[in-house]
Amino acid sequence: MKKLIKEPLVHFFLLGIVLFVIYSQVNKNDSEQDIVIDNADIAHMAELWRMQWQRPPTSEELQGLIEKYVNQEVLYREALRMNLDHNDEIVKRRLAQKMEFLGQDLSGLVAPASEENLKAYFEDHKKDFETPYRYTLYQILFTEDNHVNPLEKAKNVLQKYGLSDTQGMQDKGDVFLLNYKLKDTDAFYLNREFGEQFTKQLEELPVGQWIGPIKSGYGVHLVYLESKTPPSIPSFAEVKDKVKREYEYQMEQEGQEAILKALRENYKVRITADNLEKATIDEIAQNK
Amino acid sequence: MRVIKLISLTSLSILFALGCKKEKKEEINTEELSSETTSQTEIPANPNKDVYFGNLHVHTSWSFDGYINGSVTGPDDAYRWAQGESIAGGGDGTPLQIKVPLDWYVVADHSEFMGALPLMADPSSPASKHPLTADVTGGDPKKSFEAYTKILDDISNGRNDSILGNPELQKNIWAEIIDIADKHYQPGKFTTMAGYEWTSNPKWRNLHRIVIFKDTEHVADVPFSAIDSDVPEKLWAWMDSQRAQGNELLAIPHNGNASDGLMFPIEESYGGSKIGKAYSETRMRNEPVYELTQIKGTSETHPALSPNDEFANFEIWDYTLSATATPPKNKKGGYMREALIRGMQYEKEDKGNPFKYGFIGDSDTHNSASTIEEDNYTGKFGFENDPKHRLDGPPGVTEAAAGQVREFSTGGLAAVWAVSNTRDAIFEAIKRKETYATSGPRMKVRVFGGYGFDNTILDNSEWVQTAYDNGVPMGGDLKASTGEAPSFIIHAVKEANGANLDRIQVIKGWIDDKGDAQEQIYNVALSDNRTVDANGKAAPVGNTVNAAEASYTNDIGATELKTVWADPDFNASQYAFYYVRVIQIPTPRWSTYDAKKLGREPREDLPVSIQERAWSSPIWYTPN
Repeated sequence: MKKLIKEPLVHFFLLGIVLFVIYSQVNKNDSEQDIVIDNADIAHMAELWRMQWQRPPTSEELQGLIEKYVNQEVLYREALRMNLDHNDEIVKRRLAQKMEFLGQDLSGLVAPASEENLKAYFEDHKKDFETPYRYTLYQILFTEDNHVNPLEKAKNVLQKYGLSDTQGMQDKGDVFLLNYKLKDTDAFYLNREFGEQFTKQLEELPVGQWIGPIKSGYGVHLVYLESKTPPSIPSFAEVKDKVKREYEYQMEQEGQEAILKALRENYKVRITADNLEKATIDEIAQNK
Repeated sequence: MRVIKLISLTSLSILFALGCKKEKKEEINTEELSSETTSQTEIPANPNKDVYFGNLHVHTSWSFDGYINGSVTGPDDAYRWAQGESIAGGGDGTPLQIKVPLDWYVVADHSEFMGALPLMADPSSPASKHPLTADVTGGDPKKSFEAYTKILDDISNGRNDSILGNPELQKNIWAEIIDIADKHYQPGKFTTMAGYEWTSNPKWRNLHRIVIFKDTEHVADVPFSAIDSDVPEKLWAWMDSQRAQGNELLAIPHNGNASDGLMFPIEESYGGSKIGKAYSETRMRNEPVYELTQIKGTSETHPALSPNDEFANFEIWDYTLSATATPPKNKKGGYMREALIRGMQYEKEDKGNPFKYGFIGDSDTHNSASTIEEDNYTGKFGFENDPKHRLDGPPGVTEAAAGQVREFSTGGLAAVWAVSNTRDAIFEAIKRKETYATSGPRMKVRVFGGYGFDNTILDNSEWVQTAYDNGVPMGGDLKASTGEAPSFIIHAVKEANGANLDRIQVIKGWIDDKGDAQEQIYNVALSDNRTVDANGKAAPVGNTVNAAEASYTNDIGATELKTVWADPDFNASQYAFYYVRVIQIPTPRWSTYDAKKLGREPREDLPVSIQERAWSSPIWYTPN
């Protein structure tokens, strides 16, 4: 995809569209010396009047609006002829804004969410679609509410009962909100219930034995992992909807950047100011 | 914004091809929808329920004020943020990312001129030729703030704007919002809904409501906006007609504190209704829960209304929506607790209870991200995404407005006890008020009311099942009493990565034999082996906050607090409600974290630390 955006031919195509759109907007049916006022223009003038006065303009008022419009149009065209739009801060800002807006949608044209593009995106971003760690586990907890030193308490319990099976440990911890047995759960759920600190530590733990102490925001745990399934990559078909959602979002984000980059390549930026740090100058020069 | 832009470009033949693309997109979405419906049936349900934390009051740049005030993101970005992704923040350019993702999220942009302002940058859209476009997009903060006031004034006076409020445009934008919500809905994992805000503020007095929809298949073509009418009765009539057509929906009012007493009217409503059975039933059918806390302050109660409540002065925001930034005259009618009690008085007078509300907390962010984490707060609007702008005031605002910004809270969370994380289950839980509000932290709070619960029940690992079998959860109604006082099982656990708990309180409101309103606060569970004195008061938990470091420790407080509490002053012939407040130990306020970021002392006119909290929906007792 990125390669496609870099193709000069694509640039040409893109810029052609941008220019055409702007051209067709600005010029409508008017040729250089003709000022055409069509139904849409009249409707727009009348609407603006209505918004201000809460009633339609009378025919006299409408005539006044048209006169004003024509005068403005004449002055506007003369101003363009004299290049008065050049280096006007407001005009610059507004035109740049319009270009930016047009750029936003062009990615949809050059990078449609076709089956082929989606598959390629999936191949490049497999890691984003990985399933979380899955576990079946048992846990007991010691909190500061019930123990002066929960860490020591957990160590003692582990030393004394660490060889017992999963049945023998249940009543050794505090009575608490969290479940003793968590069957076929995953890291996504455990993050919610226990916090990330606890969940992250499980990844390294051996299966089939009581182990600890493992800290969470609640206190100190002893944990028995009955099973642990590391992350895997699902098939494309399983996650196609998600791939499409990510692809379209990324293309919209990257597309805008790519267009700006492509346009900037046509310009050479020279900084003649001498009161800037060199690092700043280099960075701007590189951001083509 | 893709579809909208395309529609506005359809007059151009060059883009005809894109029109085809849009139709194709809709086809794909129908497929997605049907696959969601099938997978939804496979989501396991927990009859004893889990709590799911989320927000339903979220604005993006698609709200007129979100856009004007510097948001650079839309609904798609908002849903990504809630799931843990980093998004653009506007302001000083700092990106926004939540530390712990949320379980559900609803983008609810203002329905008035929804999605129209970003189109001011689109040369092919009529919005780009709007008289306010130059001010809105011109980069002069003072001018754009004036434009914002002008648009809000139009909304307040029910003036539509034929360009920004063009019906065809509004329909397309609404369709796009629904489409984005569907795209991010993952039943069992992350829930989204279609929603919007009805922005009624007659004379700057806030009557706003969020409206949410149970599913996106039956949802209305266009929202009912405050330009259609700013009278709540008219909104409810529209909602009733929608419901009759199979479109299930709810409204959630908020910021009574900014309503100058209009939110919970006394005897007669803004719409001119006398309070009576019809009014009460209509109101409660359409809006079961109230947003108790959010960025624009907490409206549980005001210190002037509850002088004996030592915790009442919490994140109070005492203004209307007027630019004068003056406190509203009427506190009565603007705060929940007083209204809950008055509601029972109306019921006693056979007028029904129009204020029988459950509670949620919510955000009101206008920058896509409901930054509820106190140490990760980035402001309400995009232009506050810079600690200097939060503490000294955003560009272009008056000193009075800067003060209002400093008094913003980080907003709160809606905690919902639901059988699964799906649209259906979350919507139903809100409808039956099995919800609680938090000021941001994700503490877990369970409350059940009934008769004959004894102290040992919490030692039984199956206690939740027993409580559901023999009692009612938060938001419910107690059965009639034969004279025995009701008892309440109350259980609270701190946020996994958050601060410890200070105490649990029960707040009781009742109507005494003379018909007068009464309220009483009971400290029912305390950390650190504290006990209550003869007056029922407890010593403060202490304060570990280090202002210079913007830090605290969990050396005080409890991981878990629990109790079974029976009302010692129960009278079976009196109307009463009970709700639970769970209070955290003191932690630094967002402004203290910001001061540290800027290497300054915390401001003296703001609290250095706050005690964050949760409020359960009430449980009501109605005498025979």
